[in-house]
Amino acid sequence: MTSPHALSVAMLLADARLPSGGHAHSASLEPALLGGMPTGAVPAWLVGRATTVSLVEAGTAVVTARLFAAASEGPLTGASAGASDGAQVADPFDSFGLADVVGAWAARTPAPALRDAARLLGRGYLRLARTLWPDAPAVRALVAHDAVHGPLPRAIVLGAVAAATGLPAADTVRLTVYDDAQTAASALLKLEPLDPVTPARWVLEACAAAEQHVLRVAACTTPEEIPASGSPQTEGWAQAHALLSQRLFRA
Amino acid sequence: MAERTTTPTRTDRPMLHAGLPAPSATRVTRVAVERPTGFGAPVRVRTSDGLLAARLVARDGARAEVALVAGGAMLLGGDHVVVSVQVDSGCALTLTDVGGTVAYDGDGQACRWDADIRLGPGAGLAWAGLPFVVAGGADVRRTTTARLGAGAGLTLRETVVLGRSGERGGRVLLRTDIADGVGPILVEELAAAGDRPVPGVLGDHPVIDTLTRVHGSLGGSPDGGHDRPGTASGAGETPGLGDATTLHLERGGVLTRWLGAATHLSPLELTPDRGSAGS
Repeated sequence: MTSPHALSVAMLLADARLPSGGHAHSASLEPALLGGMPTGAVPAWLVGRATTVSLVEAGTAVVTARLFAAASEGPLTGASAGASDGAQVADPFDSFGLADVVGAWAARTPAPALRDAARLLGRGYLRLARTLWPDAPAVRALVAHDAVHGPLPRAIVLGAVAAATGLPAADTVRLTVYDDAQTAASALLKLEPLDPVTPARWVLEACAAAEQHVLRVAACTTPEEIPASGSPQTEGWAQAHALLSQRLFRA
Repeated sequence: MAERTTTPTRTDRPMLHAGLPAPSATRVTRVAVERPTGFGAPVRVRTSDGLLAARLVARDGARAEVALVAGGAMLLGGDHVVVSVQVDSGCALTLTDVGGTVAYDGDGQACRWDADIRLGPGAGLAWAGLPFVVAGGADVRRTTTARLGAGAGLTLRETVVLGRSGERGGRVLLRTDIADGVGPILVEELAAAGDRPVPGVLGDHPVIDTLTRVHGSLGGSPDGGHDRPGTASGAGETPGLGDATTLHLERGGVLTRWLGAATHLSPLELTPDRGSAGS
């Protein structure tokens, strides 16, 4: 069977029409607006996300992809150096540190509302991935892990898809940044009346701001190297939003 | 490391000699609490001074209280404060700051503040830090690294203020890295600049006040704390904390954080809880 180009896979994953559940999320935008952030601050806020929390997600995906790529080249390759001593799960991928990557991501995501949102999105992504790439070892490993331990965050699933489809690390980073910004931008149009073209420019500005970080994040190979850049105000807004009954978006 | 007298002393207020730049060479401020040598004896406390001096305030058979005192004007450009804290198994330490810290305009020279914390199994550390002020023109990298033994408890208060009264403040990178034998518990890097506030990071708030309470896991399954889907995200909010945010970490432990306009408005408790050492 011929394979699609990695760019086609990236476009598919970034497409809002993809049935992965992303439409229920605003990438923290609704929590920010309800928390009092003025609409005029959205461009700077998008740049802030692109250079903080999006890089945590991107680094998590990149390291996940590296772990699976190393595993597919055979056990006990270089990546095993970062493996957990205590991996007990029978699945061979776990000895390469999948639990370590999840743990690194969780330690960098202190807000439970944001961990929950990421796991909901991960579930949707994994449902898609297991249908589109059912035989890919990375996807099968995640399905097995999910069955035992519960939902994996979206960044982990994206990393497995990247490994399964040959998506280059730098493009995995760009995809993560773009998807976050575009999710917020399209949510903005549902929350505030404005010219639909305007947020599109903001998305590209956010992507441009992240560009100086792309190669550094794409070079991450171990869980410890995943960026830890946080956004405390966003975390506060996310927790407050999770308690609201009247909201348009899940997070 | 020089062993200081272990006679409890009261410390004087720090004297700030504005005209005398502190030496820029890195000297480590060490505080080590070790188990008593015999029945009924107090814990042993070893200290050595760097840019911060360590003064023993009190001790008994299980716990000690040590005050950290600025030895001179700090932080100036090029200064590198290193604080190394070690608490042995079963012992507890309360660290207090005597006076807050100001990172001054370094005229283009950055400064650093690094704390390295090692807690043995069942050990406890409560560090009630006073405000760390990043003056306009300062460029600070401040890191806190902690490694917790099984069942060790860590309570940290960190208050960072961008700018003295009437100024917007310089640049600061805050990094917190807390882990135990199982893996990371909290890894966070916050970058802020007083003249370039970023909505979503700190917004316009000059004060970031954080109280972190975490414990080392008591053995068990290596990934026992991971991968559990969160339940009710907002559950467990602590009452009485006003507009502070309470974050329950995946590995257990709580981070309570307040962003605001001035330190005196913070709803966070000034000192760590009663369960800590010292008192």
